[in-house]
Amino acid sequence: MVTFTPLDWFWTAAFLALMVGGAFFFYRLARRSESDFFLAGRGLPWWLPAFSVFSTHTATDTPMWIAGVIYAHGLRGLWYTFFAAWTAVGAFVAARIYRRSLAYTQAEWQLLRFDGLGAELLRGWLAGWQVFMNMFILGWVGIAMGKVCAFAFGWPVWVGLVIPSAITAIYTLAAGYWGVVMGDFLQGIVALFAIVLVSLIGIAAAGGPHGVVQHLADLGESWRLDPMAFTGWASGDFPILWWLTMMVIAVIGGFGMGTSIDWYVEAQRIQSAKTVRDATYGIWAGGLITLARNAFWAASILGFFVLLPKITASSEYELAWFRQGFELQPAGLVGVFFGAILAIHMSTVSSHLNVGALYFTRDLYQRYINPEASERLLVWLGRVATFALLIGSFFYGLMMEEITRWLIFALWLMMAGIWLPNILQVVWWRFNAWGYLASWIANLGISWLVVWVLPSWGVLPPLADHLQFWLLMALGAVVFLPATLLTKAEPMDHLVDYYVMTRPLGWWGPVHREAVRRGRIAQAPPRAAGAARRPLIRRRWTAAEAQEWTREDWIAIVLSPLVFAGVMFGLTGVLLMQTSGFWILAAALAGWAILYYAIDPKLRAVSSEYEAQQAGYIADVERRAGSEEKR
Amino acid sequence: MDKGLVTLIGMSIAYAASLLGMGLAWYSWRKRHRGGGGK
Repeated sequence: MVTFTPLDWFWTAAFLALMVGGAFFFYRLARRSESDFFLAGRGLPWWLPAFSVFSTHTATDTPMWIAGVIYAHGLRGLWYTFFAAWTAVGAFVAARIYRRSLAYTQAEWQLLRFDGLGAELLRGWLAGWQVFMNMFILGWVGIAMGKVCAFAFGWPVWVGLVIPSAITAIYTLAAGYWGVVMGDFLQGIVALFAIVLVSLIGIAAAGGPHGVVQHLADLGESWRLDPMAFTGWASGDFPILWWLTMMVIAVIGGFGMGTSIDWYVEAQRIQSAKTVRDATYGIWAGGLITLARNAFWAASILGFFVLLPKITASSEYELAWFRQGFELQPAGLVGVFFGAILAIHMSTVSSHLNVGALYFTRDLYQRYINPEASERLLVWLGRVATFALLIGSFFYGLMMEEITRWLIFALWLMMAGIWLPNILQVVWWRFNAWGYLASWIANLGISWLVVWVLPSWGVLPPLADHLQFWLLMALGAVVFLPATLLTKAEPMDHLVDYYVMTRPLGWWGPVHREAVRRGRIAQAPPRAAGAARRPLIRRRWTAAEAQEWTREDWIAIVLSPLVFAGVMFGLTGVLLMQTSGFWILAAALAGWAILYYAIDPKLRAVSSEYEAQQAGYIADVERRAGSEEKR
Repeated sequence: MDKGLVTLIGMSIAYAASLLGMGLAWYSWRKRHRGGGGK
């Protein structure tokens, strides 16, 4: 139990007032239209979506599972958190393509990418999935908050589950996405401050950086400082094959849409950015701040480990960072720390309330029930949906108290079968709605068979996580590839429209040639004889030239994950005063500078050309938002 | 509770919600095309 002084309560109340009041301030903007309530009018500079990405993905349960993997694995445990690196590639590929589609949601995007009944069924499927998923996530982060409050104050779990989420719902309901993103910004600053402060205090309590390193050596645990401390190719609890699989899932996944459960929230941030360039930098910076956050947590959890190295129950060592915050800080700062815990909880809850309401309002109600709904009705319904999601999440949270771990595991596994289709829908013109829908539907049965049924019958041995992933992916392909190739390609008219609007990366040759033949896009002229040699990194672009995927894009795509890994591990090393950490961080910053030098002129050209046409595209998207009859 | 059963419950709820959404899409599609207003 934590002792709170009046000063602690003052700071908690002050932070709460700042975060909730700041969000409420935007109430008037939110009620103007559906676009304002769910996308902040598509006008945000990159740093607001960036902070929103970081805040949303810093929930009450996040320090628990990061503490868990670092305590159990040492710094190699940071690779478990590297899933967030999908944003490294996603920012320069999927975000750029998705932002140009102008779809409010991933469900709506299905109707832009695919055509006909298959696309319509996909939209309904994804909308239903997302309404459930957001309620589910709200339940699981809510119950984590309930447990933290029970640990700190001895309150019944339901108090921590219900009250903070209900306070969050008030401003989310009133101010919509404007409130969410402005709240995320304020909450992100508070959270970042607390993460840095508590982590530094945690390192200091263990004897400072040198003390942590020395204690590890004394314990014979210096291997915990090595991020590449593998246990063999396929054996032990940290095999190389698992690491390679995780890298493929995260980094290659950035070429697709929906390869991470986080994509659906990020998609909203991408569309709320005011330009393609802002969307790219918003997602990229959000991912980078998230990984830098992990560095602070990792260094401080090593400090916790050297002080208490013999804890065996994961439920105890997962609370390491919370214990450092509540037990090591002086009176007054404990209140600031609890304010920060409220911040990370509220930012996640507000985002998922608004995203869930968006899918319900835009994709289910407006599309299928009342296509003629007025802007006022849609905003009102968005509020009702927000409230309904909140109530649903309470039931889920209480129901999931003992089953959350298995549900998360199950839902992660279910993503394995659709990982490749999520990429193919972006990069392969021939992939169609029936193939994608087949992969979603088949995934349930396949994952159920591979993970539970066949092992329990003795037909298949229980498999390691990375083997399960590859097997599920291969079995999924056995279903979705025939489904794709035995059904017709999407109509060429539809594909050309989509291609011209989004200019996707990958195997789009037939559609590109058709778009050129129809005069919808210009063919790049061949280089004239005697023309000046192309520079290694080109800095001057015409709008038409910038649409093509070129060397500069690939420089960004390759450097970006390296920069992410370098910042995360380099910063951890710096916090522990390791010489290698300074070198790694310096290399990462140099890579960052090259990346920016290469890609920024191109992003500016892409953005300016696209913004000139955006008004017309938005009018078309809005016209199609309701019924087909409105066309 | 048995973890297999729990997973089945979790998966079934998720897929039931998706099927509901898809059913709504199907109903809406049929209604539009019976009316002759769709493409």
